[in-house]
Amino acid sequence: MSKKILWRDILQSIRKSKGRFLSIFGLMLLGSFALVGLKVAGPDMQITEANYAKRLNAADLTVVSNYGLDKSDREILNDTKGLKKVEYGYLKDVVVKNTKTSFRLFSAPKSISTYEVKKGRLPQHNDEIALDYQYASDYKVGQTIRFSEKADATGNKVLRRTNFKIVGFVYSGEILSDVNLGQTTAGTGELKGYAVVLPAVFDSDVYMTARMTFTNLANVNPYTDTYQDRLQAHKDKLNQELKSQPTQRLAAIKATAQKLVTKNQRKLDDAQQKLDDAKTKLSAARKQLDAGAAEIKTKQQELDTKVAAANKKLADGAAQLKQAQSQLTTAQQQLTQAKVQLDAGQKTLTSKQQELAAAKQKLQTAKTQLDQAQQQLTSAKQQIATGQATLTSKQRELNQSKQQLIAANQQYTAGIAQLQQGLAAITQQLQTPNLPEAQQAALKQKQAELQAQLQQTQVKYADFKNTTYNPGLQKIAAGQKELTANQQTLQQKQHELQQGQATYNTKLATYQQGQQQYQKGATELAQGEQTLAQKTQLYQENLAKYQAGQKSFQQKQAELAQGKAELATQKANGEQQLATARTTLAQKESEYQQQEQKYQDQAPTARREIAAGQATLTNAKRKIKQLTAPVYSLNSRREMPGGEGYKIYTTVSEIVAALANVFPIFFYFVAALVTFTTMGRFVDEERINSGTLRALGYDNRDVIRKFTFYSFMSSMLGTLAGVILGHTLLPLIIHNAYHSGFTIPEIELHFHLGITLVAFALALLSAVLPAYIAAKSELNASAAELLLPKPPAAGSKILLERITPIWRRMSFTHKVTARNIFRYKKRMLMTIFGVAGAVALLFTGYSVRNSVAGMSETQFGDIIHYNMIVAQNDHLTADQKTDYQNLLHGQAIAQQAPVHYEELTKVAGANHDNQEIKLIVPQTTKHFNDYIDVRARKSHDKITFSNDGVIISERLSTLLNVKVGDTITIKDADNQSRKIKISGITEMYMGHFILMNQSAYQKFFSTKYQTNGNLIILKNGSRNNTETQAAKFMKLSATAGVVQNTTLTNQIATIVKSLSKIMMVLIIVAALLAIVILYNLTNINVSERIRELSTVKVLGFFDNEVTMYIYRETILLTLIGILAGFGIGDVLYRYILAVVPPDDVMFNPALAGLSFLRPVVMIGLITAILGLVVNRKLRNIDMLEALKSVD
Amino acid sequence: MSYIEVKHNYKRYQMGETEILANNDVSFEIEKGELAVILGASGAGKSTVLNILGGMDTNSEGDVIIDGQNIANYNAKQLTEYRRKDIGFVFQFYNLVPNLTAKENVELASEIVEGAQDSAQALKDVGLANRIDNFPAQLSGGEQQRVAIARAVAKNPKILLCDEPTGALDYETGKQVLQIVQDMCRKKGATVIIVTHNAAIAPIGNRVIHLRDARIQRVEINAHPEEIANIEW
Repeated sequence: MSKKILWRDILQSIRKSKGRFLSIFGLMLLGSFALVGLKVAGPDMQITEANYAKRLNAADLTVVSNYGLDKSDREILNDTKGLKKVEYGYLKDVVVKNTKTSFRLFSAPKSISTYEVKKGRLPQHNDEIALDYQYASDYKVGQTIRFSEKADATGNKVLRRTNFKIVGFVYSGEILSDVNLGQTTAGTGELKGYAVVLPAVFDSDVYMTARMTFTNLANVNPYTDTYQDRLQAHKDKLNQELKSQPTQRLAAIKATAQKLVTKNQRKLDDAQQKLDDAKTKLSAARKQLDAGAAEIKTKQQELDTKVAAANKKLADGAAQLKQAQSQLTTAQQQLTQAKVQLDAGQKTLTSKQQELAAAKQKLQTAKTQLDQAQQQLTSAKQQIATGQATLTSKQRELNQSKQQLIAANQQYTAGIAQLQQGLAAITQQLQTPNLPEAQQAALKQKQAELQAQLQQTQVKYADFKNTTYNPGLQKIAAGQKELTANQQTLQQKQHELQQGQATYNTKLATYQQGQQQYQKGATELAQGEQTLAQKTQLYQENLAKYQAGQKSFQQKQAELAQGKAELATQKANGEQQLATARTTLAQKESEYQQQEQKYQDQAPTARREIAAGQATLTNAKRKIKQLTAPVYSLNSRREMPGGEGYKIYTTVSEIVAALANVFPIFFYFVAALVTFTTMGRFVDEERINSGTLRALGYDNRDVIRKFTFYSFMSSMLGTLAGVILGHTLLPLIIHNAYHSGFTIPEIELHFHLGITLVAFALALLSAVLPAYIAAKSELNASAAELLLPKPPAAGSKILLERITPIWRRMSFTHKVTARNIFRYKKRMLMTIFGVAGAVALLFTGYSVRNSVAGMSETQFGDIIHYNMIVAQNDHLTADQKTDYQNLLHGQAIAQQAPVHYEELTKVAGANHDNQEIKLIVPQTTKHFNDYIDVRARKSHDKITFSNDGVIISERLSTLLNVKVGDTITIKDADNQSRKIKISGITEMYMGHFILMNQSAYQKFFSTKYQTNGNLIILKNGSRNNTETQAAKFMKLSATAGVVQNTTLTNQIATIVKSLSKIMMVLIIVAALLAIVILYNLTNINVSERIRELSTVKVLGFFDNEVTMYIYRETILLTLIGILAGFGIGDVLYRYILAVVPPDDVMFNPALAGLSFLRPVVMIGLITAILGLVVNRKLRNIDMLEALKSVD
Repeated sequence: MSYIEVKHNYKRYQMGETEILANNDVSFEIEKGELAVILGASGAGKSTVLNILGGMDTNSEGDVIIDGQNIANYNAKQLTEYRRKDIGFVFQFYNLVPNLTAKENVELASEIVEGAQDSAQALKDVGLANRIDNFPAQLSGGEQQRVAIARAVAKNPKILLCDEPTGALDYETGKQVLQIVQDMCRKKGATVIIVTHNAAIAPIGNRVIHLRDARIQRVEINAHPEEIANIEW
């Protein structure tokens, strides 16, 4: 039995009621789309990420130590149990040169956490680099990128080079986010990108990071509890292993650093020494130069003096020469004169000579005569002479004796007189007054000596007189008498001779006279001759002299000339030497100047460098002193630095999952309700048809099959479409919502069997089952009954009629409407529920959107007014403080407040995550509202600081489920537990805050209050400027960190964007649902009451009146549905607010007017449009046809 | 000039390829206060005439002048207004609104026109004084048709159009209903047009218009209509 006709009838019924078929199709589509889509999108996101991580072999655990990982660390890590592989790597945060764009340079890994090459290739040489793909539009392959690296605390730099050639663009398996790459110490404090270079580029003794994979995590979905538990186990174990490392490492690091400091200190000292040496050398050179200059001056003077002297001498010489010349001239004249005289004298002499020669002859004749006479005389004379001689001899002997005696006598007398004279002199001397004793003594002694000598001499004299003197005198007198007798004889002879002699003498005299005359003439001649000779000689001599003088003069003259020449030469020489010396000096001077200049030029730089070096070193020294034990952090993918992307991604996927638990239920509930009603109506409509079939002998099953098939077809097709769209469209939309913030590949679409089956089962349940039940219950009636039209729902009085005052006041049409509403209770409920459901979804969607959309504005517009928190380092030097203060009071800053800032932690939330809490303790609470508006969310009342309580942010209070007056325990920055009492809860949407005043701080923290940071309001709070200013602060060594609002904003923005888009999808789905529901209901309403409408129309109701006749109910029900929808929506909204937001984010629970208005407008619009559709439909219905049929 | 003048009325339907002529040059006149019966077999075109006269349908060609107004030129809105003010309908299947009481059903029509009768009075006039607050489901067929008549006349229409008013009723009830319709004509001076295939009803009319194959066969003027009591079918 083919029952072909039955099937034809079934198909016919589908064809005839396309609207209904499509309604069920649509309802099922929307329901399953929302269900499957939401349920699938989260897992798809997670699988996509998991596969991405697997493909790049992302590390399960990353170990980072703030001091790097040394050999001892590595030994421990290598020995980790269950380890699949560990790889060590370097990393360093730098900025692109002359910008504040921070990059994290990673060393290229071998196998763990590799990179996905999006363009180009990975670096193969030390000068190559692959950049974060998000910079692919800013840079090109082949371009050079320059970075600048900031030295670390000990002055070290890690990179061997900072210029690289870009060879490719990559995505990291670790950093998934483009918008929030985490914190950095470079640039603005926020990481902006990353890049890969070869490990050889890093110059570091220690590795910065260890990436580990574990055997038992290799094939486990990272979003499962299994993965988390196992990872936690590994973490715990490793933590245990690494427990003693911090202390050991600290000691080692301090030692190394100290060595380095020492070395650097030496270097600095050397530099200083060099500088000093240079200075010394320069000053020595200066001295030398000055000495040289002085010498030159002296030499010059000497030369000048010498030259002057020489010149004078020369002048003198010249004068002398002149004089000599005149003398010579005079002498020459004299000589000439003398010559003339000499010649005259010679002539005179020659005449005299002749005269003399004649005289001589005469004389010679005379002489011969005389000689004869003389001979006679001479013989006579001889005889007398002999006699005389004898007599004389005898006389002489007597005289001699006599004289001898007298002489001896005289000698004695003289000696005695001399002695007496000497005595007298001494005596006289002694009488001299004031004679010194010594002299007196000497004189006295001499006196004594002389006295003795005198006596001796007087004795000798007396003896001489008696013996010698007197006898001698007597003998002499006897001899004298003999002699006198001889003498008289002789005197006679003598007389005779004298007569001969006299004659002779006369003759001789005459001769002699001649002779004398001759002699005189001869003498005169001789004299003349002699004089002449003399004169001639003199002349000759003078001539010679003259000639000598002449010669000497000439010689002198030559000498003078020579002297002059010599002087000139010498002077020239001297000058030249001096000039040379001067040139040398000048050269030396310029050299010196050059050196000096060089020194002057370089010294300040050098000095500055040295000072800077010294400062750095001092700083380093202090830093070494301040070094604390290293902290090892073991991070999962989500926790590692830069893992914010993972966190946001997970949050988004969790939000989707959370929504998946709420929305689809609602959708399905509404869809099922509407489907149920629709099918019931369908069964009703087909009543007679069914009866006919039954009457014709078809059994119940056949009839039921018609309805089940109809509902099955529509719902299954709808569900199928919904499942397909849910598997594809929704994940893609969600991907589209978040992907701009992530580097993760396109979302992978996976088939999820479980949820698909659920969707189909729900479809069966909400469409096929009601159809079956409706048909079944209808078929309980007999065929005959079925053939009769179902009696129209009987009119009856409604409750409202009994409240006469109201009823009376209602217009007729309203009464009709009121009665109609209650006449079709099922449809009423369905309409209300359907509309309420749609409105609830719309309301929730818009409310969530509104709540998250306004979050940033409220948070950073109304509540948080500061642009950043700058935290200072401990132990600052005066310089550092000054720099910091200068910047703090700089131009760019409008206002700032010193605070104590600390990051507290508290384990809270569903995942028992560590919540980061910002503790801000203002120095003064006055004007604190300028920075943070501490206020109650609903009333906007200001909350005042209490001395024995703290103010916590609202999200923290809801997370911990605490209220004012409660006490909570939190951990401070040093991991110390602190109990604090809550005195106020302040409005806050992002991040956790605890605020308190100084007293409360000192009370709860038992620590002296000290400011260590500042809240800063910039004059220009634009994001760009905030980053610029943050970068300025980051550059200071005084700054420990800068907390910008943008970090959280970015992160939230991604979540908000994703959530908004998802909500938009849900809103659209809800709107479509509303359309389908209202269309369907209106359709049912119209078809069910077509006769009534025709009647009304025939009675002359205008088209609008006809439409309103039926549509008024819909409008009313819709209004009720909207109100109900707001109620339900509010519940739904609160649920989402409780479940969806991340632990540190509070969605603003405030409801906006728009959230109410939008659903109303949308539903109103849908209702209105459907009203028009109905209007058109009613205008075109064939009144007469309807009137003729029986109902 | 007559109260109702139908001149050269044509009505054509397009059925696929072929054109069906429902009214073919139909012309007739009805005077004010007359009870006219339009008689014809099924498919003779009498319903078309009724629809055109009732303003529920428009003709393809020709004039339909009612009380001096040519409704053939009316647009949809004017037609609705025409129906609303000038026409009272009585249908074969009563077409009461099930959700409204008898009175409310009457009010449904009277509410929308000015100068309507009191609905309770209208019902009293048709003998349903004691069923005023009953819902249609609680009334018999005749009673329902009487409510329908009350509804039709309550607004004092220019023309009362009755489409097979007895079609769904038994003999006695049918006569009762016809009596009421005739009374409406005679006592209240309403112009009544009854469309029927039942030739037995024809004698009660002042004017009987015979339709056949979409044309007017003949028009009889009946100076002395039969009393309702005297007719039988």
